[in-house]
Amino acid sequence: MPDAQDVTSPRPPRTLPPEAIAGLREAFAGEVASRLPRLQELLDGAPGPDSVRDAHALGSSAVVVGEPDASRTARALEAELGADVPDRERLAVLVRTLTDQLQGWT
Amino acid sequence: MSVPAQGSPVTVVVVDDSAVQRRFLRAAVEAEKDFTVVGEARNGKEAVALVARLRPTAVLMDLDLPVMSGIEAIERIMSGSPTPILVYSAFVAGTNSENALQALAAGAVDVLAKPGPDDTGSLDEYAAALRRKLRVAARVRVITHPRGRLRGSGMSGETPSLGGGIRRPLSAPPLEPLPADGPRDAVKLVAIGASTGGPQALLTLLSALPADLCQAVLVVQHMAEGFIPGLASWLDGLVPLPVVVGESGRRLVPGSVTIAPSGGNLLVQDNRLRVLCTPPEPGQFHIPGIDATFESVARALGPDALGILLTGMGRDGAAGLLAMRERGATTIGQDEATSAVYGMPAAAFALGAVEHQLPLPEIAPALLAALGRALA
Repeated sequence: MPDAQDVTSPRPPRTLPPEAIAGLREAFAGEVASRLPRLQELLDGAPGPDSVRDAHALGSSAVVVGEPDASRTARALEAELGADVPDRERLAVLVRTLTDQLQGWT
Repeated sequence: MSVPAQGSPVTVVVVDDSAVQRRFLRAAVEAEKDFTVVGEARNGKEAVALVARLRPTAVLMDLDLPVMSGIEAIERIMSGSPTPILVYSAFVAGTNSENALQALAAGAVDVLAKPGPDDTGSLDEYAAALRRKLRVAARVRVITHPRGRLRGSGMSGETPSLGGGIRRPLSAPPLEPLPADGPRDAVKLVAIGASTGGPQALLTLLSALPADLCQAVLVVQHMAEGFIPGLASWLDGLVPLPVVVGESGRRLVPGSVTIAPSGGNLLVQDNRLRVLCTPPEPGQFHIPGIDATFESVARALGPDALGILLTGMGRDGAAGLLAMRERGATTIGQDEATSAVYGMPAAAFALGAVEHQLPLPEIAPALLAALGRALA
């Protein structure tokens, strides 16, 4: 799990108690562990029933722990999954990018 | 449910399928001493059961939920265990603002967009905004919302009508019978103001107006920047009259509904119904302002207008409605029993601005009677 970092906006919470921030980071690591592997299945097959929700949840949660780049990628992935005909090549690129960006959390 | 007294503890149920979000919301809420998260739900179905069991002061809910959607959960909570609900979701901002309107129409008290990666504030600021909204929401006296029951009976597509309110009506009886002095043939404009609970009330009222109405309708709904186009689009798809957002320099068109844009005030300039958008007054709290619009209507149209003040917190619109009444306009205020928040109409009533105080379902028939029209 990466150290708490100074990042571009939105800035992570500072006034929350340290144990609350630790809890947020622990919960995010758990969310990455459960949701990212399901998204990685997109590299080999069609989107699963929870793909959009997984991308959406990671996109929202990444903001909370100060990972705006991962959040942007997850949201782009969510948008692509929501397209009438998702571009499989773009899906693969986004999944790989997201995997790289969240490497420290796995 | 009863409204907590100022300063009394606020108990909250948090609903989100993300563990990160639930933890963040709990930490954000409990940063203030008198707030306690008493339960967490991971989907809409759990939320409905938990709210019924715990009866919290307020609910903080995401819209994108598994098992049962946030909108359905709101409807069911408002039908079975009416509780103020603050929606906190990524699906209410920008192009998704219609989701916010659906949530408000389903009975939610307010909405707040989840922070995105390109937002500029700190999460501490979001947490503070969330607590402010939650504190306001917790003091809203909500009424039973029937749509959850309608959904169960296969009637969810119908326009909801408020009834079976859990709050006692105001002790004062309705005022003068309507029409007081016969139909107002010369009425050119119906001006409507609304705030908390307004989208739902507007849907009920505007749904009952005929497509061939001869008057222009002007609506001022308190709403955060960016949500007004969604409100207009949402209503446009559901009510007989076309609904548009007002623009400076345009004229209000008979037989259509114009909604005041966010960011300032919409003033009626003359009796030809030309409108002007102006920036908010220094220190103005509610934007767009109902008082500013109603006062301009009073000046421009005098008795040739009809004013309606619907549910909402605070007192915006009360002085404006009084100005309209003093210039000879017919005025109507929503009654306490059917108001999500009996604030603005109560302030207008106390000022003597309300000529006719009516339950929401009776406002459209009374309006049409005043215009010399039968209910379609």
